[in-house]
Amino acid sequence: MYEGAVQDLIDEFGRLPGIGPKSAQRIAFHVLEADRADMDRLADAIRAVKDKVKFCAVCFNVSEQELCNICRDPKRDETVLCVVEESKDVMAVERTRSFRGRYHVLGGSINPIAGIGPEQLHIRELLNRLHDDTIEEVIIATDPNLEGEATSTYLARMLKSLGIKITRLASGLPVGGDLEYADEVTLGRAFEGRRSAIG
Amino acid sequence: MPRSSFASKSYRTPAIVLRTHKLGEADRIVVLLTPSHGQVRAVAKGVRRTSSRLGATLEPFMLVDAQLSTGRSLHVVTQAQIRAPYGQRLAADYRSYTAAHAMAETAERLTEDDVDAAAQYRLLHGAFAALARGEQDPSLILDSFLLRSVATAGWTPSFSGCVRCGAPGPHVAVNVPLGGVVCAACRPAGSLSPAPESIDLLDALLTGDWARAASSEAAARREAANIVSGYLQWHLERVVKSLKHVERA
Repeated sequence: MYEGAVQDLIDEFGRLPGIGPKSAQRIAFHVLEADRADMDRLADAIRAVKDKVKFCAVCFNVSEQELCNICRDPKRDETVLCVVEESKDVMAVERTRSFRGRYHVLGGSINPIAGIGPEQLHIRELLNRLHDDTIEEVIIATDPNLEGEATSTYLARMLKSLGIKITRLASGLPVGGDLEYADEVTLGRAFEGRRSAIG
Repeated sequence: MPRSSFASKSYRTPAIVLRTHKLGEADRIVVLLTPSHGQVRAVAKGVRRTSSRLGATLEPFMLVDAQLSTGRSLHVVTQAQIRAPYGQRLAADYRSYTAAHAMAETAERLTEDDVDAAAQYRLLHGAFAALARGEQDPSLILDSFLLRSVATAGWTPSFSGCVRCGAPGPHVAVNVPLGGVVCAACRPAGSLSPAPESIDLLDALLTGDWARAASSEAAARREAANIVSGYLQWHLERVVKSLKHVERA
């Protein structure tokens, strides 16, 4: 155990995701040895993110204003909505440059064993957004894992009655890999979702 | 010839994935239920990457053949192959998915590390297989699993004879702390008076009489589910979080 402030810093770093006690100690000593100006900048950045950043009132993406950049952009396609689990998924889809619609961030996926049900996610707000006739297609882009699939199943059931086109992201083989190394579930999905090679 | 240190640390076992936690950048901790090693917590490295071959295999509710090596606090999954992809089928039906979560959480609470858990393993395997087949109401499979799981752990309830004096039934009162039906003479204060159909359903769920259970009415299923939930949480001495998210008919 170190004294006072050093131990407090190690404890605080240790509470961050993916950081164990040894990493926490290494980072804390890096902070001690680093330039004061660099560390002041880090402290200011942490303070600013807590002071300025909030969630977009429409899509729940992170934003410094009432509405995020994407919800404010008039050039985005208002008829297509992509539903994702987290804000970082918005960035992942944006990097593809193949989607020009808007987003809705659920804030997680349905995971009852972790105490997360539909009520803990932004599903009610999604239903409210779909009540006007602007949106014609909802793309469910939850993670391709069990919780993501179950959330997709739940959303599809909820949205079926609204008469909107509901699609789910395709799943299958990763680009650049060998077929023999694909696992059974992924390869099975790739077969189920095969498409015509002509046209 | 002496065995290598890897061989002495490595073992192979069938397992059911109960739950997973994210670890670090791309790893997961998987909680496995095995027949002979009980509950095992193991690190699955790199499984959150889309290129991982193990990612889909180590999803919750999958029945797998796992190769593990022992570590200081956590074991490490070195290989895994799917025996039955229950997770995939359960995620496609929301009611089955929520029921499977409650089963997995209960199995996690009722088993320990390094203790034989063959009975709980068989029970959970059977319950997941029944859910995946989709032939019965998921709520009935869940309640039957919960009663039998608690019974396997040593707290067998009785819904035929009085739990205090053994007088043969049918009886009209249920006492959750005592573990089943009580006769008029033994009935303590605070006992419940469910409908006779609900008590009959509880008995059918405990004994696995599916024909009788399937013919029950919705009201009896609701009442029986409340008693099962109360009985389970009384013995676990804590709330089973997934139960409140279970979607019943």
